[in-house]
Amino acid sequence: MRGTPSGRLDPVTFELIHAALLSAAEEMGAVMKRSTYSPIIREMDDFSCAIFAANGDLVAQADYIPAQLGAMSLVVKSTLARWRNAMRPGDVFIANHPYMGCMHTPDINILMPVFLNGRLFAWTGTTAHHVDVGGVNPGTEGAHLRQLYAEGLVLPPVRLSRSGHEDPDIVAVITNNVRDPLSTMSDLRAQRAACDLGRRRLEEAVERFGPHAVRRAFAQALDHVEAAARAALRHLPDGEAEAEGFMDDDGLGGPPTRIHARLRKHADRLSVDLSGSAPQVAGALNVPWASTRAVVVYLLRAMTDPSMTTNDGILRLVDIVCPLGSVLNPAPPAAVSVRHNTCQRLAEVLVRAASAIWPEKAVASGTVTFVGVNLDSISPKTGRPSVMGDVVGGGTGAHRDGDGLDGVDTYMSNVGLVPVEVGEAEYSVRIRRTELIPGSQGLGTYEGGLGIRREYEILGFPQTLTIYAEQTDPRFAPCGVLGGGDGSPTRLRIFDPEGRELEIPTKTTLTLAPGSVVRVETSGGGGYGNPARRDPLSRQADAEDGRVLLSSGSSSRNTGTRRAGAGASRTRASRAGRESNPQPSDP
Amino acid sequence: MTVGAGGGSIASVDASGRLRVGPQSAGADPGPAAYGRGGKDATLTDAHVVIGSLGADTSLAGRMHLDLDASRDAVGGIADKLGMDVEEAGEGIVAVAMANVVRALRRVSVERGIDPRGYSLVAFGGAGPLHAGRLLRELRLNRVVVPRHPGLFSAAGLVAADLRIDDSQTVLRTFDPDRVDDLVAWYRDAAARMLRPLREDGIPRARARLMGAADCRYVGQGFELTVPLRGLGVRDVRGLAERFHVLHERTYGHANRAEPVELVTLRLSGFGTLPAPSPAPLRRGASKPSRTALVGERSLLLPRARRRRLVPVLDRETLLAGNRIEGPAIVEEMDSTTLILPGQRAKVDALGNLWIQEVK
Repeated sequence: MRGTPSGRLDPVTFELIHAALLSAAEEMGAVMKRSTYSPIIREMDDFSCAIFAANGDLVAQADYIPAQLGAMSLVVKSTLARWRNAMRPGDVFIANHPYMGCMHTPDINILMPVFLNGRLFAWTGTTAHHVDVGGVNPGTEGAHLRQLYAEGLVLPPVRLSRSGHEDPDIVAVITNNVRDPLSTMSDLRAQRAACDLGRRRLEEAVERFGPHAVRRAFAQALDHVEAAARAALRHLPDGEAEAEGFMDDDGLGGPPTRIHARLRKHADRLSVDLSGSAPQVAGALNVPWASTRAVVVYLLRAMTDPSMTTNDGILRLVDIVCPLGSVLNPAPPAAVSVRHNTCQRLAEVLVRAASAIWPEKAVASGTVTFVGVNLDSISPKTGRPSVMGDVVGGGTGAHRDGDGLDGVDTYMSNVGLVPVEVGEAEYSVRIRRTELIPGSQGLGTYEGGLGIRREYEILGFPQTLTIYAEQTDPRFAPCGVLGGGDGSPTRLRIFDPEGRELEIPTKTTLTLAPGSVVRVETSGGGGYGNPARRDPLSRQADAEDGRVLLSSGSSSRNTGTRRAGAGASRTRASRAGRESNPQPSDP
Repeated sequence: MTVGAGGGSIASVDASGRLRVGPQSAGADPGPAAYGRGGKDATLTDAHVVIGSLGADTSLAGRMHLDLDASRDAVGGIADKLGMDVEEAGEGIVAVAMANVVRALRRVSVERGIDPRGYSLVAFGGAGPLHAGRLLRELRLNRVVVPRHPGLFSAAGLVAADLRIDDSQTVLRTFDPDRVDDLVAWYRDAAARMLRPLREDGIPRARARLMGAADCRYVGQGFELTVPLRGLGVRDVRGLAERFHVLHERTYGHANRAEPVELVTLRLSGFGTLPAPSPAPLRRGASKPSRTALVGERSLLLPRARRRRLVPVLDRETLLAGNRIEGPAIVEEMDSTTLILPGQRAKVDALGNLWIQEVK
């Protein structure tokens, strides 16, 4: 093996080992996608696969969902803290404890230590969103839950397999605590099979390159990402900005929850101060540390080089300040199951603050979170209880190069809709319509993406619906940038079998009779730049594509005039050498 | 899935000092620096020129000659950034490009439920055979076959392909070994339906081949595995679940024999072997290629070697059936160059295909 005098691998050997590690993670992902049962994993890609160094540093990850960016390394580190001296080859760990490095109870991590000559060498790991892990609500999640104990089975890192044999005791605990044990266990075994494939691939890499070189490649992969991110940061002007945004409530219908961030970029370091955010809330909107960290990683990648490999090297150039007891760093046993909403708002706030420091990179705001729809039912196919978990995305914000995207899951999330065919074949539900909503976009030189309208009809028997949304409060709808207009707010409507509309809050769990209809309308993205400057050809195409509501031409809602209501999103920035306020419509 | 690893793929060094190859390509115009059409970027082709697997005596497509100096200059730019000598950098570019191909091949194979080991790779196109030996080794493939005239392979395939008819029927029900009569009947009827058009196309029963299969999954899974059947009889169909468990285990590393198996689609393929426009069989030769096949020697840097080595160059058109070529060796023909690595052996079959294998 050729090495440079400093003991580093030569660049070619590094690339070869690095490609082998990425390939291992990708193959793990392919196995997961093909052999899992739950639509949320196999159709919607709500999972991740990764390789870790012996100390738990994330080395290579197959990218499926950014919400899980870099989060798993904290779980590996918790597992090490608990098991370091008691692990044996063939052990497989399972964990979902939000206060031990996990994100929320439905995201179950399966981790496999890889040994070489009896010594710990590396880890392979997968995390996947399981539709139900028990608890009060079908689908486990619920914004109104007040403590972690209500959020289903909580697993600190424990052994799913010991020395290569599945532990029947832990399996019995799992199967007696979840609503669809067969599908849960099958998916967990698929996760374990993926880890095992990753282990074999790592062993092949070691066989070919030698353990020393592979270990060096782990360290160098982190160094490279750090160096690339630092170089990209250095190229950006220094500056400082703060931004705030709000959750509709505290998860329980209470007052809005403030999310605030102050960004400061100096040379090749970024500091992210979140201490202006609200204290932890009574409902389940609190964000465990692994998730808060993942949002910051997302911002760093978006600002520097989105094509960068995902690993822990990027965390070396950021300081995150957030006191314990914050909604973004809660103390146990605060409930966290709907932390995704808050993460998405934090992502939006961070991107808005970054857009304020660097208007040349500005992006308008997108839908802050998908609307989550969980329905408890009996599968028409298996006769077993099953939970449909759907997520309905919205429009992304417009940006300097063009319009936002229509009907996608924005920011940290990259999850698809449940396909109509799958939804209707596997669950007792009819999906009556799925369509884009013309006129929901913020106007601008470039326009935001459109929101989605989707309707579910409950079939067969009464079913329990858990639904949660943000931005139903029009003050918190997606903001335009640099003179662009705001997107429309989100709207939830439920009709009983007679067609009468029910009054519902923004987040709720209720039982619906067959024939009831749930209608979800998600917000559109914000616009970019003065709408008067939209190119006439695009206008014509908008009209031809039916993207505009002809009657709304005179409406001021999304034409760039910012409502200056109390609590509306605010942004302030200063940049080295000059003061600027890049958002002309700011109050 | 497309991999950016053609001859025109451009090598670059990023801000953190990492060597990247592709996905940007110099295309055919200006193309690699070696084409002498003004291309300045170091491409995969230039890297091959620098390490010697393509030589000054190689004439691409029979007429284009390579500009060695232009390739060395282009690859030299990468070498300086990496702090390597130019040949090391050339070999590095080829190795990184191969790692990208391996990664993509692994991923598409696993997505289809296939382990590439144990399969044979068909290497064709102008540049495929140049990388065949490397892919054989990296992917631990069983064999690589390089057809005659690899540059014309796709066109020749269109002319020579056998007839094939596919039929399928969705069933979507839990598999029950005691309820297979209707399944067997479907295969029997489909076979009869298939033999008729084959006969009309001039395929007698003796030259028709039928292959049955069924797409199965565990109840609740979203993807199926296609399970081939041994035959189309009752016993073959009854054994479907067991064959599925075995295939699932092999593909994903786990199977659950207690779990019901869902039958999704029945499949039957009928093949009509056409009188192939068979290339005249090659004359049989000794196991050692004749002296006239050896047309030269080329100095080249082999993978993971420290210095260049003289490697024999053989003329594909002069090889005879039964010839064995011990690597390292280069086999050249008008439309392609095949590189056989040390430790590999190529055999020429009766039709002139080159089969490359690792010598165990």
